[in-house]
Amino acid sequence: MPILPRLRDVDPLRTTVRIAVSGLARAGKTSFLTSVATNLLAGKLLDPAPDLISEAPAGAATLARFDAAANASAMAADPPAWPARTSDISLLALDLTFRRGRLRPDRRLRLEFLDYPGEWLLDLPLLHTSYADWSEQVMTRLEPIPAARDFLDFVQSIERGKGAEEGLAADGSRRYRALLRHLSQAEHLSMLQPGRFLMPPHGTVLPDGGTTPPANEPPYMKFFPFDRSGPFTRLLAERYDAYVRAVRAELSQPSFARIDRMVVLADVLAALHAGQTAFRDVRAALATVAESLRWRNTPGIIPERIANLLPLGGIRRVAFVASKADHVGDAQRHNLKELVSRMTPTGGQAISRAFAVAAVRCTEDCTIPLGNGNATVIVSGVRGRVNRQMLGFFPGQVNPGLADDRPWNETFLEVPQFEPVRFDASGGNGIPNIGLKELFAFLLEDVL
Amino acid sequence: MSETRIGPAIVVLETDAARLEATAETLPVPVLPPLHPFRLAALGTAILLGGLFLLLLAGLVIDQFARAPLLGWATIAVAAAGVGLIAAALWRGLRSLRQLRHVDRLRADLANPATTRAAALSWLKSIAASPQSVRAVETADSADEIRRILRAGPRATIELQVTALAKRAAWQVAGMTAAMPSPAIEMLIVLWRSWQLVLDIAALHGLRPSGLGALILLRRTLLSAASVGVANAGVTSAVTGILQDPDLHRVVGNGLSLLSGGVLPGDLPASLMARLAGDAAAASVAAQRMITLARAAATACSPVDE
Repeated sequence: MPILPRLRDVDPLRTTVRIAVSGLARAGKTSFLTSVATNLLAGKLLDPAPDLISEAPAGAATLARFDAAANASAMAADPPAWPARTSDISLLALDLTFRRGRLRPDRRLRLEFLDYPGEWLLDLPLLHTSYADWSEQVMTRLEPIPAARDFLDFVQSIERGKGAEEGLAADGSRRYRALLRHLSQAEHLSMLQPGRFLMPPHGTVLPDGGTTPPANEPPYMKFFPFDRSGPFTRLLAERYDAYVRAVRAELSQPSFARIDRMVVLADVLAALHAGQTAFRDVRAALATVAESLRWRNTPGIIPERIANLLPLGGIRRVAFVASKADHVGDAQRHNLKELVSRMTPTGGQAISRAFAVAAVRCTEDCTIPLGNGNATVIVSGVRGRVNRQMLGFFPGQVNPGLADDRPWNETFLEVPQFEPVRFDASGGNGIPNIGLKELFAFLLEDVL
Repeated sequence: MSETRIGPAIVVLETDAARLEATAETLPVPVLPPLHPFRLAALGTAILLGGLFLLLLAGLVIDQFARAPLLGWATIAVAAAGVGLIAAALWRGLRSLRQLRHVDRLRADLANPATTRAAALSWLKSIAASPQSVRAVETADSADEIRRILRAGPRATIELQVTALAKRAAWQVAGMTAAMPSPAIEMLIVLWRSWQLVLDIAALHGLRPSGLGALILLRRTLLSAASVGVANAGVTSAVTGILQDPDLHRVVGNGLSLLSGGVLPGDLPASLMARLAGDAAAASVAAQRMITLARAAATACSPVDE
């Protein structure tokens, strides 16, 4: 591209902040982004509110644009429809202008939200883990899961001294991927690695909606955890290393390298209600992600305190968000936030904080009579509509503690999927939510 | 004593329920900002000057009537003419200020999806836009589409006219800059031409700035120029750099020879070519500044962003 036309696009007075929005499975990432876009455009999220706000032009960008308007219309329609699960990354870019009095020029800010698949987040720890260590960790996690028995038996059946056989590696890889898909879709687990086995690398088109890998997939994608030594293990380890190199190369691409803030969503409440295995899984996934997101691109020779003041890249702020926080009453939301805070160890170079957010509000607080006759008790819960029925939902007491002695023997529930509260389809008044303003105050605290 | 735990539960409260409505937001009570001390002082000074001036005039009229009725009437006529002209000037200033405020309001309304269409139609009417543009806005499906139509149609048309005005001003300034022997006169000419250019561009947008409104428009233009100017800095320095490159002086010299219809020879002495090329570079920078100023003025006057 000639230099002069490119110079015309440069706007040195505009600050660009790129926020990656990621989340564990079914955390509501698409609804979150839709609500963020609609509320920002309606001037509801930021304080001070921008004087002008509009969607940034897409130009010749390589990333697809996030279609917030279509999602908002579907949620506002009667009957409402939740957006479908996204299968590739997309970008939402908004231009904000803040007037700064009479004597100073306007302040311009571009907010870019990258819809970053949660599955890929779980690949970050692999950058610092050897194949042998990774295999051992995966085997330990799979051991207590009944659905993993077939795969574990397959692994046990392979002789220690087996030669490097392509067909066997392909068989094992196919079985491992099928297991990952099953654990993700049927058992709602999140701590599944490698993430790109579930959500293929950017730009990969899957032939039949994701059940089989693409024909032109590179050979290094065909590996699986194998916790023994020998020539076969060396083949798998070489492929694992090539996979890690590909992840590292992808992270250094401009689309990903410029991420400086991150929102990690997790449906912690659903995990609590699904039982001990699901809760441990979410806890492990969040802890792993939190551990990986502490890094920044700090050169070793610069002291950390000074490096933090330099524009070195890497993630500066991370918000861990318990999504669907409107499924608990107001009094319980603090506990939910506290629980997420304890699940995500802090420290390191990035500033992190926990939040309880409902990006699209679906319920209102109410009191619910439980039991019958003399045994009736009144509890504080929430109510919301599902299939024209008004349901009262009492999620129980959210215990902010992490200890495994929580009463896992109590009733487990499938958390209802409530309809969004009615809102204006044009989005002019924003989408009712809980906690988004507080979240953005943290994310953009140093910019606004 | 054992604690009775109540487990999670779902109960049906109503079988055919209406959808939940959003609870009304608590609107903050608007608090009027206190007047800035500078503004208070300016207001007090204006009241003192204006009020005392009117009181003095009234006293003068009464004195003149005491001397002779004819003198009194004559004083009233003179005072009325003078005060009337001052009032007319103030009125025009306030009206142009109101026009600028109207641009701000239109800009805000265009950004708000609920009012985009009405604001767009109002602006199209004020600039006498083509009926096709009006129909396109009336039939647009979304606020974004309306904004796109405004950018592609009326705003683009005005942009072309702005560019034409800017080019004309740039040529004039470039010519005058090269011809002027004194940098002081050169600066005055550039200032005068810049002011004329800003007024011309305001007129293109349906504004007739005068008095206070004109001063505010100039301030806005300069603020817009701060950003437009920085964005163009790369272009300007590139132009300057190319023209000041000694290897390219010969090319410039040949170009000047061609432009002069052969009056200037192509093989001018190196020192003269350097002088001519230097002047051309200075003139081109001045011209570039006029184009930047035109873009800034258009940004300040238009309710539709680029």
